[in-house]
Amino acid sequence: MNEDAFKKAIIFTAAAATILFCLAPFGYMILTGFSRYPDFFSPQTPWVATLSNYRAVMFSESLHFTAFLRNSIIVSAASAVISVFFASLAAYAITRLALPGKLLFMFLILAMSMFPPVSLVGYLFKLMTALGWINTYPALIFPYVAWTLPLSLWILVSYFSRIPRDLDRAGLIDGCSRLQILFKIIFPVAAPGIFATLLLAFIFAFNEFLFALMLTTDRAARTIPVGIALFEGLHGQIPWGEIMAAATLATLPVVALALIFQRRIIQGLTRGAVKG
Amino acid sequence: MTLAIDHLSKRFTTLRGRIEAVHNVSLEVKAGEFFVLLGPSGCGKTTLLNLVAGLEKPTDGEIRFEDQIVAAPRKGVFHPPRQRNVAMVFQSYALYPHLNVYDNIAFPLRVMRAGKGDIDRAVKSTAAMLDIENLMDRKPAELSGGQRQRVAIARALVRRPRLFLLDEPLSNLDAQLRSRTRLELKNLQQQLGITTLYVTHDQTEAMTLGNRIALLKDGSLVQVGTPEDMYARPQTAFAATFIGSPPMNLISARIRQEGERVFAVLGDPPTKIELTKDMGPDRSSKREIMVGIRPEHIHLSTERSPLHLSGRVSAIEPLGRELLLHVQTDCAAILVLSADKDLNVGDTVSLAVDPNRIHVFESRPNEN
Repeated sequence: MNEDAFKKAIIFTAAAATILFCLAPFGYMILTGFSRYPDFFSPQTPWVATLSNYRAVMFSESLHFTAFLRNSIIVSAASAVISVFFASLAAYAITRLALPGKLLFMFLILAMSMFPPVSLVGYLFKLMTALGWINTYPALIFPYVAWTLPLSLWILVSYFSRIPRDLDRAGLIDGCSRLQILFKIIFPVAAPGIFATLLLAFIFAFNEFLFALMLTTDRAARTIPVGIALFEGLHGQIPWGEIMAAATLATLPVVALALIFQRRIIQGLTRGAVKG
Repeated sequence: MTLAIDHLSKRFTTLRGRIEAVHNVSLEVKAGEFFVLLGPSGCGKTTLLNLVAGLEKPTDGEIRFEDQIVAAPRKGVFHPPRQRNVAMVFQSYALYPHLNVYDNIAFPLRVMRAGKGDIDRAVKSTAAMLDIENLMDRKPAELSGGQRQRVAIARALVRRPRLFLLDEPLSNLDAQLRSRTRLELKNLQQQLGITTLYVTHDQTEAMTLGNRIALLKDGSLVQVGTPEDMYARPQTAFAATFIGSPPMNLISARIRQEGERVFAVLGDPPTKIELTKDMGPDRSSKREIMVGIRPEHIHLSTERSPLHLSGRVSAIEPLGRELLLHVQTDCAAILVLSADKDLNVGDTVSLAVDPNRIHVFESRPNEN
């Protein structure tokens, strides 16, 4: 075997192992979701295909899957939009205006995003109770905005700082105010970056577990990750098949978003704005 | 429109301390004039342009358009760019990448909220003027450098600005396109008669385009004049070496007074040149001066001339029509243009200098 082929074989093996390692839980999740007997790994039980888990998840009144999904989408979308809106205003100011102490500000934001959520959740629970917001959308949206804002800000600052200053100057010369420059030039030019950030913020909020667990009580506001975790069978047993079916369904929108838009996101990130 | 710049200064405070990018500059640009700001990189010419455009606020001094003060920090006046009706072409072109050519050109008019019909007419006539009508639907990323340049010029001219500003607009083009665009730009400016301020570090561009040139160095004005003036009567050694290609030779010399007559003495064995009154600034105060001779005013000669130097050819650069010789004489390395192609490195040549074409400077080019 020559050296090139050997190298290729090593790379292929390593890649395969990595992918297998990452995707194994998903494989298990999908298989279990379609299985009539959840513990199909034991030698006595055969793997028999069924759609009953999915049927139960979609149509069973007691599981409230569709309510959880709706809550998740509303809460995540609202959080992502609000967070990215404020982050892009802030990113514009940080990259374009002469603010004193920009760097300190950016590091403070970063430091805040390092707080473990557990240390905040007790206080948040008290606050939301006092406000009477427990088990409502705002109870989740506000913390999610705060939680995704540092991430959005850092991504957008790096994206905006790559947009040439000459575009701002050209806008000023062509008669724009600062706000017009933001809306007529920077936002459209940065659209792919803003969109990518929106997607990331959405996914972060969509996957969040701890706040959702503490700040919601039932299907009026409960989101998917918590909803699935708290699935309960009729007699108190853990319904693995239905949990896995629901988890698969909950993963689909996120995976679909990433797959559909990955090309556009990457294209947007690499496309030159001025000269070539 | 006339443009007046009065004792203008701009200081920046950076982490490394204060930098004075523009220092006490005063200029008058006449209506319809093509005025060039020339200087090496970092001389403050782009800052000066930005100050006129309103992209930077001056620290001191005053800028007037006609009689209207547009910036005067002492009087608390500062008009932002959109109140000045100036247009600018950037070195990077700065086209809006998300808009096609038509929308790029229409952009300034749309911001002004001009009527739809007016916009369409203005965009089409400007595009016709620059010969880019067939590119209207393209995005900037799909254009060549020269095409982008034209779109940038069209966007600047579409609203008939009071003042047309260009910041090194040709430096991203290849040599051939550059000289063609240079000519077109000059014709266009003459045709429209818009007062134009043009920044460049390229003395050829400055000489060919400008009605007048302002030479800047370290934020200060060195000399203002017509291209002929700048070439024939440079006032400092810096102006002498910056304008003209290949650059002027500078040879250090001593002053010797013999009665009423003053001589510059250079080289060993010493060569004396009599200095007349019109040869540059007062020089009696200094013992050391610089004598300047342009390469095109030195000839290879076998006869003895009043001013004569000899040396050895140390390098030859063929320029096509003629040769550029590097000649090492006993007092300095001198550049000479020669039509005689039968020369080799190492040859000894004798040089005749036209004494009427000599310049005298008090200081070295790296001083002011």
